[in-house]
Amino acid sequence: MTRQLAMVIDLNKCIGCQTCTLACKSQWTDRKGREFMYWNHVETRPGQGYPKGWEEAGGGWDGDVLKPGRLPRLREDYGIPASFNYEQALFHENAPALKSEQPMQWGPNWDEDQGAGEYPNGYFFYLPRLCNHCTNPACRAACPRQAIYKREEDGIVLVDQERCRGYRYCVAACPYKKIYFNPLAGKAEKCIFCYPRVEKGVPQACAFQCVGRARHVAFRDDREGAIWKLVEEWKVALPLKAGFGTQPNVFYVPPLSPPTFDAEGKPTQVPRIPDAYLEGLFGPAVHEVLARLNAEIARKQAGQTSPLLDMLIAFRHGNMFRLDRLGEKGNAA
Amino acid sequence: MIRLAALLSLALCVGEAQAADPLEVLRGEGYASAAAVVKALPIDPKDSAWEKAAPISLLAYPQSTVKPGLAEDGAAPLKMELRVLAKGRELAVRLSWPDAAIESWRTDRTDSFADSAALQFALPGREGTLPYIGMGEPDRPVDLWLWRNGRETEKLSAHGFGTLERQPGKLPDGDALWENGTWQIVLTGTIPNKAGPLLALSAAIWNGGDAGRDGRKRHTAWHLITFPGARTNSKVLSGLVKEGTASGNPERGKNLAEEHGCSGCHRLPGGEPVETGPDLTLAGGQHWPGYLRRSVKRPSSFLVPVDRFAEEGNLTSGKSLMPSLDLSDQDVEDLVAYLRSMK
Repeated sequence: MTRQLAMVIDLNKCIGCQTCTLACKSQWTDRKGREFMYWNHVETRPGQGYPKGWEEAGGGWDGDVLKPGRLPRLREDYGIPASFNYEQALFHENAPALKSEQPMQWGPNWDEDQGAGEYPNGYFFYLPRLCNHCTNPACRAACPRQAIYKREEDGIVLVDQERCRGYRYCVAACPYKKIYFNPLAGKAEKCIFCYPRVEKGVPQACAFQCVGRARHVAFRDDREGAIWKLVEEWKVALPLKAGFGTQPNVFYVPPLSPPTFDAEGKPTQVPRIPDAYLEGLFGPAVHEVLARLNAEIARKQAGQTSPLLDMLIAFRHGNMFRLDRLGEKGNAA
Repeated sequence: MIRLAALLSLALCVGEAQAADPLEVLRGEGYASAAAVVKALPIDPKDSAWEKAAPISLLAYPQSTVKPGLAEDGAAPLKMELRVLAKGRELAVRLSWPDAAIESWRTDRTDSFADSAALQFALPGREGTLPYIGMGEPDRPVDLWLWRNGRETEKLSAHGFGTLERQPGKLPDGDALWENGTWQIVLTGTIPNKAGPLLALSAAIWNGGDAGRDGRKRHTAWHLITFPGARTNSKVLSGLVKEGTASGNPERGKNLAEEHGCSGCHRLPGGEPVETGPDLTLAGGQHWPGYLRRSVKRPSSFLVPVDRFAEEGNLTSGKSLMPSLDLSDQDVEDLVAYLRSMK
């Protein structure tokens, strides 16, 4: 029986600062064919995401059959990192303006903060994304060489770089498009859930560096851990696009939003982010989750206690992570 | 005693020599060609030394046994030409095949594939048995040289699907030329493992423009390369002749296939697609007759490593889903003759 390390990301606390993205990038993907890769990124929703249009790129499961998917294109869908004229622009008097040396048409954060809706009811929120270390990974099933495996001890999904031959069936099969092809190495690469850190009891770089204290990490069967409490007990964290059928192990506390304004400029009872939009991402349970969160906020505002909100507030950074790999099932120390 | 054994084997050779020359038989069946021996191996596809090698015409068939393959796209076989030159244990092979457009390995793209070609080598077993064409078998390994346009060549070995592994040592040299819609590539290197005077060779080609990689390829059947002046073990030779010929009656074989309901599990020429067993519509072009005979006689003697072809849908059962048929030797030969006609 695989034990599963999992993550909950509270979207109400994500401010889109990309500290997670940079923590990941500087640690794992800063060069050698990985320039375009963001194992972790934060996209603005509604938006096209990264890679562009990933939701429509196919992959995932239709029952027990893999759905076909397409390969994202480096320039058009991921975006080629531009180089800038630093030499000319930064070190001389009357220097030309700093600008990119190539025309830029798309990049990983191209539609940041664009969102949707009309003034005064425009809206957007941030959605950090990384490999979901799925319980039923489509990438693993798609590989004819069994180069992708899931670790027994923590459920982390990894690509064996020795076995990978760069066929890219996994890239097409992942419905979240969280496997990348490194065209220099000729192999598929992906988020490794920072397993070398995890093995030392240190949380993932993206989670540990999160300035908003938005990310909780624990084993799913650890009843004292945040995942059990937020996903199973209080039921306020949901997987993204569960309909893809891969059973993700990254969960999201969906975003609350301020009310819309009516024609007179008065706030209504309707939240800015349309319920239907959130349902498209997090499924029909999102309505109950938002109601539960609002109720807990009301409790807290009325001076009552809310262990749920206290956990989400995360008063102590260290309490957000329970990585003890030696702990017994359901009773991690 | 030793002298007596030597005399005996000499007697056997003489005995066989009176029958048809086994190599001639295999050449006659289109399964064998001689390498030309040269003093220096060329790397340039335009080198005049290639004139010394007789052209070997082979058809490369779409891979249709495992998914993703090419057959489902209705791909047609492609005509290839091979020329083989030898210098001691060094071999140079020139492959030519039509390809309308050049596709190179691109480091600025994540969705493109390079035109590629590979040579697969195997040694016949002591009984003249050759490995399964797709990456060999657990106890019948194959060696491979891989060329991908714009990428370093690779030296690999395999003993079944999914076992392909890079090998240490000097990489094969490669040179390539694309001209008027035809690739001409040359691969040279040391003959893999302990090659005797006879080497089985097959070629595979991938069209980058058609997302070719892995099983999405065309491949030839085994072709035997002989080396002039080299002495071949007579037991191996007679085994190869036995494996490479099919004296049966293909018409009777076809009737037998109908009687036994083969089309219930296999796609046969003109038949409906069915995926329980491997597609056989091109079996005669893709496979060495010896493999077809082994599969007809003893379906579990080698399991094509695809779960759905195995009992319980699981390869670990070690048994083919195909039942053992109660066939006479003549039935087997007729079925093999029928299978061999499918190309």
